[in-house]
Amino acid sequence: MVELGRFSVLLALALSALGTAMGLKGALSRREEEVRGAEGAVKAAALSLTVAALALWYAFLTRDFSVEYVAEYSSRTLSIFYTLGAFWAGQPGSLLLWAWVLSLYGVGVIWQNRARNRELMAWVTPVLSGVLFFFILLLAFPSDPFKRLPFTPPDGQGLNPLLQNYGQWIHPITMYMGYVGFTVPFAFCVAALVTGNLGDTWVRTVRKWTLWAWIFLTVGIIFGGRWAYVELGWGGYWGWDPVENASLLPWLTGTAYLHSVMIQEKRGMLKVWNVVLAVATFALSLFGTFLTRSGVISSVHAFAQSSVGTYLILGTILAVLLGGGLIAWRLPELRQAGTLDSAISRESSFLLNNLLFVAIAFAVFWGTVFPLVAEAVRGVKVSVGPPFFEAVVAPLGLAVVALIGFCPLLAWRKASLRNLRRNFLLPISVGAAAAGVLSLLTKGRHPGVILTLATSAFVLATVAAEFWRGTKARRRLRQEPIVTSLARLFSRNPRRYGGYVIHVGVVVLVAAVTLHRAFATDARASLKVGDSYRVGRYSLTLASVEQKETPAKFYTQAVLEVKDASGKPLGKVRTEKAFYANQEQPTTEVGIKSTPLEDLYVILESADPAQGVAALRFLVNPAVFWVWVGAFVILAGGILVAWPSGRKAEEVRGEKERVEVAA
Amino acid sequence: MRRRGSRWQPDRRWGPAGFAALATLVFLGAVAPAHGQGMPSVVPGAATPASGELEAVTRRLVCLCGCNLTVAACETAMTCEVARELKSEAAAKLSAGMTPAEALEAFARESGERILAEPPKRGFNLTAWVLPFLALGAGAGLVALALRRWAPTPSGELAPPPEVSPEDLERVEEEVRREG
Repeated sequence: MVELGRFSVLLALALSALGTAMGLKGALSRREEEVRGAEGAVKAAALSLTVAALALWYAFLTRDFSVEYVAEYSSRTLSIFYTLGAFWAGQPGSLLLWAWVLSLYGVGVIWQNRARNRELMAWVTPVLSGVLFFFILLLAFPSDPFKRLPFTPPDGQGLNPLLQNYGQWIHPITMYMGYVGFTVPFAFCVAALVTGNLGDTWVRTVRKWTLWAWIFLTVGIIFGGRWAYVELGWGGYWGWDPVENASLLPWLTGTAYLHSVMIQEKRGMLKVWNVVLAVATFALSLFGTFLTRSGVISSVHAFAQSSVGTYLILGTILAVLLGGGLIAWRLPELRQAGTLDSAISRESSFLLNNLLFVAIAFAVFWGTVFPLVAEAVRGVKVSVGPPFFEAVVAPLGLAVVALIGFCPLLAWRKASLRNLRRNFLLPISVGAAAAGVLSLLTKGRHPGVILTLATSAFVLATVAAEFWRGTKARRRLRQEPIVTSLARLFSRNPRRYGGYVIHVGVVVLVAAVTLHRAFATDARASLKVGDSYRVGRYSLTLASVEQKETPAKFYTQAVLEVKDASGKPLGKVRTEKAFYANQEQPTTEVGIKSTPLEDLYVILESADPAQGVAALRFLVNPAVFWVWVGAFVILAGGILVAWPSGRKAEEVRGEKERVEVAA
Repeated sequence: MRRRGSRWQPDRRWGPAGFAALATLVFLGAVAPAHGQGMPSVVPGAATPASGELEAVTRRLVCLCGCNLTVAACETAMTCEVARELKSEAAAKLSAGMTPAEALEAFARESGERILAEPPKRGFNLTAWVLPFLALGAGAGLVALALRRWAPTPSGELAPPPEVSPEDLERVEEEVRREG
């Protein structure tokens, strides 16, 4: 099977090369049969990569430690669940997953466009195939997952314990699906630029592909945060690590693109900007992979580092040069005259929204690469960590939240005074009232928190008012029950109302993060069995400290009984420090008791089981529960917007929107 | 999440027994201070000034083990000895009467700027702080220019709406009627 896997990779390499060459030839000669041939090559490459993926899984399942990758990332004691998940624990498997996912995206795009967009597809196919060729090339030579060892070790080194979390089945896969998914808008953008089909056909064709890529990346980022929170044990979910930042960059430009593209669909404007964002998002996806894999900047994700960084940065530069060159070439046609009727309109607020998203992306990018820049310019190493990013990004983020409230309520083309008064009087009153109440409650001690929460209240009020107005209008016209009206708001216009749901999720998440950052309690204590400690409204008693052993690890576990302030038992919390025989560092299992109000987060720092003593760290993290709720609301909204609907329904809806705007 | 440069790298040849011994030693080393103090209480937001100051320093120091986390995070997340040593040094500096800012300056003098979690706001490092806002300003200028360029004609009349063919209009109206 290992030989079959290796052969499949080489075959996929040849097929992707063929797909690229034949596709380019077909596109230049405008011969449909060659374009179809290139599409066939991409499909065959997808099949080959599927075989390669199955072969790698087979090697893992059969514990074939003669394969270097299998020996490095699994062991005989590793459960089947994590043995299968070890596929993408290291670089060769990750690249195989990347290429496999890209080939499947390619098959999906080819199937979707089998009878339409043929002129565009003539160029989309070689671009997709070319990117596929690039990744398979890395897979075939510098990073071969099927490389044999000169000997067969009796056991493997095992999977990094920090990766032994259910997140291993969600975070990496969704991250790749997100990163790779942005290849589709890039390919269509290149095709539109080459062919001169610069209207909104390509934009409409890739809208859902982009949305799903954005959703997957969002899921990946959220689960990465959740994973860090439960597994790393420092009490946070986002550390502004370079690799985390790298995932945020395409997410930010992708979000900007998803907003600005609406202007192109509805008003035929911002064409230059949209192609720039499509190229930038793809290039930043490659750049993120480069940062993850190259190790040029110190990162807590050092386990992911490897030797393919040079190839990835070259790929990034190539993508920027190709996209940038084509944009420069088509600039005169892209710069169509348009008119914005008023500076106070939906369109102008979208411009501001894009400005802020790109400014945040730039700030994150600049902070992430600044250590390299400083070293190159001054020869001095500097670090850029959370204090910098929080100081720079927080005000921009707050401005985005405020804009979330303003933007959807402004009329297209020109907002009248009546429109402003009608839409904003109530939400602004709600925001002001929230600010007043919070100022009284906190005696004005936390102005940043008050501002953020009041802005969040304003945004929630705008969304609630929108739903109320929409439901009321439907009820008046159709005499529907309120629940039916509300449901039909979604089914008739999922893009708009799903978008509002996403906005609600963002606001909930931002408010929760603000509360957590402002009011977390942190305490440490060394306790003997039987000792109690009070933190926040909890009383914790150390019930036991024991050393235990399994075939894979031995660990020290502290069990604490938790009571509330009135002495009512709330259950037990367990926290561990584990030592894996095949790994270099101990790992922490955090004890978490989560409620909608706050998380009690207990970390075992050290222990002496013989003496029944444990050194513990206690965090009371308010509102963290709502971070995850906000995240899931964002996902729910995203799925509502991206859920497939018939092509005809999409077209009718698009025309309806255009007519509304025009009117 | 490998910690390069960390001293905590047990030799794999030791086997489980060696591991157990080493782990116990590591644990014992850190747990020695006072324990069993009855029922101490921590009130949210009312940490003692000393621990608050120490936290302020460790949240602004980067651990030198190579993880790129702050000392505060690395100490807990990675059970990192390098972070623990840095924290002890920070506590010593504060005990010697330094303010948190002075302690951070002292760390930068001793170990270089890379130990600070944010670049000091001076010299070339200022570009790190200023450039994002300059870029935002430049972008805002471009948006203002675009708005001016796309402004309606001086007569103040709205530009004519994009053309919609009667067939399209009729089709959409029909859809609206049909779909409700």
